[in-house]
Amino acid sequence: MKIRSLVMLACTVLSVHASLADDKIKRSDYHRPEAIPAPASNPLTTEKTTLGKTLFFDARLSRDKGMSCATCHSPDHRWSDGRVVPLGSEELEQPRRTPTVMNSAWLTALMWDGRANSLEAQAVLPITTPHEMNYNMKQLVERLGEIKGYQPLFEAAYGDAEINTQRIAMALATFQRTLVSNISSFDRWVEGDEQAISTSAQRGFELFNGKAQCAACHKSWRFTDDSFHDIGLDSPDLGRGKAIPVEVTIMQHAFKTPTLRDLPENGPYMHDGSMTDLEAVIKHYEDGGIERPSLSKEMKPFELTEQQRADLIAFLKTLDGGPLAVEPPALPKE
Amino acid sequence: MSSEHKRWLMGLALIITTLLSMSASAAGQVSDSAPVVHNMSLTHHDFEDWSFTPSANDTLAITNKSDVAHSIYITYPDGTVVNLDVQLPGETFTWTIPEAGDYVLQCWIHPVIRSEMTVSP
Repeated sequence: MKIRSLVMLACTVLSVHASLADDKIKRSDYHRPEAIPAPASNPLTTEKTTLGKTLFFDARLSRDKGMSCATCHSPDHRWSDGRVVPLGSEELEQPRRTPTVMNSAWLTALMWDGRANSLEAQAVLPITTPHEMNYNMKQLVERLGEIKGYQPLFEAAYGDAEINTQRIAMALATFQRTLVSNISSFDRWVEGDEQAISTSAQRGFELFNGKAQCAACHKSWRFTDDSFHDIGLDSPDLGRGKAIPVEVTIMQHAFKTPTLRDLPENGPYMHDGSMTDLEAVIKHYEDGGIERPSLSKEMKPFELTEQQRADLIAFLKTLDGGPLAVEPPALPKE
Repeated sequence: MSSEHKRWLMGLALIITTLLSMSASAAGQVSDSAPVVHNMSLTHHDFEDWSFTPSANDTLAITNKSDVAHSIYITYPDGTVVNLDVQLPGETFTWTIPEAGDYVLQCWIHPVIRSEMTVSP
């Protein structure tokens, strides 16, 4: 009898120990990195960041001088635009919501369908897209060359005042790499401050990693796996499937997993901006989405109580570090 | 040596031979005529490092040890892309290497998963 009790006690101790270890593992999965990554071909420098920031806010990068990068990736909207349909996309058959550019230094696939594999490659796409800034890089280089105020900025960034497409893209990419989420209450909790988030949010964290299985895709400190999934939305947009062989069924209607950090209060959420509150988003995942061959294998229906939904939302709100302290720059004069 | 003793020794030899054969098979090193199978693992975000040297006609048996689905595809030395469908958690799937050369193993769902494999003749 004594032996049996000892065995049971040992099992209990081991179980508790495993549970605690498991909890620690979960938290450590969300530790923030210590430094911003940058490719060796385009290292971070203060001068390039200054140039990139100036270009980012300058509407002269668009053909009609009416739209800058910051028009749609606005600091007032967590570097998105708060719109269901982006400016200029009103006539498109399948418009996609403007994603945030925060924490993009860590991205390995950019745009909702992953068609750009680096920030440098992505930087020129909005400039040259007809329904966005509608310009071309040759004319943009000429236009910037005529703005005297840009010459010292390029010189400081690159050693001489030459302006070309590659340098514009590198500077824009560099500035965007510096847009990193502020430390949130969740981050403080991860670092060991037990009071940093509410007990409701802590329960939400458990649901996030457990029953709701959000962490199957919303992984890491950025809460994304940088991967592509069909989450079963009622949308004809094929997403990544447009560029992938049609026999790869799993990529039809697949879009990149968005980050959950710094979510705007009222959305819009999802790639098509079709939801404006987090409860609706959670209920969509509970329902499991539209059943079709491409539906992600991670989309498994489940059911939460009202309290559990509230806990999950309380947790998501702890991921908000608040707006970044970035002031628009003084633009160079002609 | 009695006949019973001989039968016992023959039986023992058969068991040892069988065990050696099973051991060699598990290590992916069977006789020239048998197919060579190399075991590999796939995590949530990567192929685990392998220590074997693959040769043409060898077979890879890849186990998805993650808790999410993957969709592996392989780019052949000539650029041909072969899709291996979807691999659910716990599943083991196989692919036989057709010829020597440099191959790239990737996942449609998780672009971060990317491994290069050089295959000898």
